[in-house]
Amino acid sequence: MGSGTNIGRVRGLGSAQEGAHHWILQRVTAVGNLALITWLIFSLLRLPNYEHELMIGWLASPLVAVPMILMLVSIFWHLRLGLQVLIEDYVPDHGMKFGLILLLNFFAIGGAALGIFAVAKVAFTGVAA
Amino acid sequence: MRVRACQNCEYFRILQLRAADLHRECVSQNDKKPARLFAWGFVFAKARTGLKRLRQGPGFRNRGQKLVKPTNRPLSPHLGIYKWGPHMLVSILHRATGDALAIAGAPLLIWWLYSISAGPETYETFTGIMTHPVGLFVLIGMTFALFEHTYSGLRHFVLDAGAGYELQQNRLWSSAVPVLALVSTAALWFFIYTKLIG
Repeated sequence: MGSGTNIGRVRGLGSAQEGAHHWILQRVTAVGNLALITWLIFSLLRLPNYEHELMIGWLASPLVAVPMILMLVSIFWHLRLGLQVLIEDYVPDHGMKFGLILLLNFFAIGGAALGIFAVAKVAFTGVAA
Repeated sequence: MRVRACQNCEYFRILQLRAADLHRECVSQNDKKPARLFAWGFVFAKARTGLKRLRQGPGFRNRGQKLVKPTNRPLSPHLGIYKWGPHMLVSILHRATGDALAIAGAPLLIWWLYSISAGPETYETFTGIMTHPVGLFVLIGMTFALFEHTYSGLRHFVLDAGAGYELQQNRLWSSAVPVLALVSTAALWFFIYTKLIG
């Protein structure tokens, strides 16, 4: 490792060892999104109407609640990875970048948790009309 | 917009965005050079390097004092200088629609699920807002973003596999993506319209 120019000091240090992981997870969650959102669209279009009572019955079914929960996980994971790249590309300041990625993590985990809890509540308890 | 190279470190030429921090470090190191005592000396030095640069032609000397001609290196110019093509549009739309879905679409999805779980009144409020023209506009926009991002994502899978880079094929599929997205959005909302109203 050289001690002169900046490029001399970083040359040959190798990769950060985790770029491929991010890239692969982005693709894996993309496939998950593709399958589960296709399911959601067709499942919704097949419903006769969108009254609250019917939505409760629909969402409480295991064959709807489980893919819905999986979809939330896949979507929010994919979203977290995508917005991370957005922040890394356009926010040069280290402190700002750190803070925004912290907020992004809260948003992704909090959003997914709220969605999953809502589905679980309907599935387990139903909602009084 | 022209890309200006740093006189000392070349980083700006290689990776404009990601290396901005390294470049800043280079600038601050440069600031630590002993201050020139006489302004005239400074002016003279600048004039001398200017004349030298004129004599040597385009290019600059890096820290190793090696002359770097601008034609030797790949440049990384900004958007403004490229000729627009469908591939460029689709690439930009992929990021824009993905971010729109992440920032607006996902919260809408959660709001919808929450309103179902919270009871009929909350659900009524949600459907009331979403069937208002403004709500519909947002929903239709989100539908287009979803289709655009999905089809563009499928295109990326093909590109990831190393296919679809031939000029004509690339042009064909990058033109097809936004067209298919518009057609799908129109078809879906036509279906919803005929189902709920017609």
